Amino acid sequence: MNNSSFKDSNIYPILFMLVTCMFFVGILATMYRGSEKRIDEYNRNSYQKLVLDLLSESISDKTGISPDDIMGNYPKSYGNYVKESTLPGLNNRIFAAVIDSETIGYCVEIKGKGLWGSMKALVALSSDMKNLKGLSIFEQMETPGLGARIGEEWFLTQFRDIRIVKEDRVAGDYLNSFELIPEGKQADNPLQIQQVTGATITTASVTKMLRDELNSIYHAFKGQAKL
Amino acid sequence: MKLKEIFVTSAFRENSVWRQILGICSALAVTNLMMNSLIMGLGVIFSLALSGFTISLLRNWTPRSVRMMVQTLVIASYVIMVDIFLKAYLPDISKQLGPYVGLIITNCILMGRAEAFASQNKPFESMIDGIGAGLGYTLVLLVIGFIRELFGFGSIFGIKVLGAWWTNWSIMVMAPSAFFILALLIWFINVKYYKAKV
Repeated sequence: MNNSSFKDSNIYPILFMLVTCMFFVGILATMYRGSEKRIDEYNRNSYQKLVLDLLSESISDKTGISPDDIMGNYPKSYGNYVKESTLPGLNNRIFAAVIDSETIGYCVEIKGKGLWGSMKALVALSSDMKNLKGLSIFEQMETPGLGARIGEEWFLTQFRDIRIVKEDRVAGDYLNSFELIPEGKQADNPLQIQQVTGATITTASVTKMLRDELNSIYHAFKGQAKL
Repeated sequence: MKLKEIFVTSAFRENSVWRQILGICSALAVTNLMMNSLIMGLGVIFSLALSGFTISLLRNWTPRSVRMMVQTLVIASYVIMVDIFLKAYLPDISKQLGPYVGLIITNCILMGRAEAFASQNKPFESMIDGIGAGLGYTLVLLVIGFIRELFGFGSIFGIKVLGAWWTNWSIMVMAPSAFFILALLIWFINVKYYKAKV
């Protein structure tokens, strides 16, 4: 009787909700805390592997070790060849591939806006920052199956070995523009990029992010080189 | 026998998609690739089974006025648990799933089964009902995904089955095709098996 009247009282739903919330939040918090270290470690390792993978071609050209062997030797190869660096006036994370005190290439983290949210990527650049050597998008919130296909291999390989800087003595150096072509159409030159069908805005966002970020990276680098 | 009856009813006879028209958003959104459909389906089966079980366990103590809040809390907790587990122990699969895991929380089928079945039946029966409803939903997703991926990409589960001669139908990759196929599927099943009058 007492129990029944307590269940009918106004305070019971509040107490019940409070206890249930605390119980489930407690389980989730414990579970998250317990796996936090593992998740962070995985995130750090996969990020470093991405950097090493993008720089592996340049390292391979210089050392003669195949990119597969370089990747297979992670984390030793990462420690041997990759150094985190900075550029004055630039907040992006920059990694340099250094062999015998000579910088042979860079990998820079860039970010931009997609259709639904922000996206983050890593770009590999030549040592003079004039050639785009590779692109890898590691964080994006695009539509699964449509815009999210920018993470697929066929799309990303289009951004390999592109001369991005146009040197002009009169107007000053500027960045070449990308041109979007339909998916499946053969590109006539490296600056033509096949867009993802049904995701025009996302594809354009990727090329805009690249142009904007590479522009500021190149000019920050050039400014530093003059000093 | 009763459990079998519960399973068959929730999976086929009263299928959430073609009979109750629930879970349509995800059936439209994730079905352009079969792998996406399968993963979404597995996530929904897991969450439906466990949330049904828990909501049923709590049903005698849950006040009517806050029952929906409790159901949402239980569903969201299980979905987040799956998400954390995948991130920590199966990070590659977690990366492939992307936002799908989170999307399960908003699937109407979960709230539907919680309200219609789990809040009035025993825990084990609710779990079987959840598995049945999840399988029925996954079946629909896979059928739509099969048609869309085959015509849109010329592949099944990412494996190319149509040769270079095949021209991909862009419309199959985009949202409108899902509307057409889902509508045709619902129409076909209702006319054929439920003798609905057109």
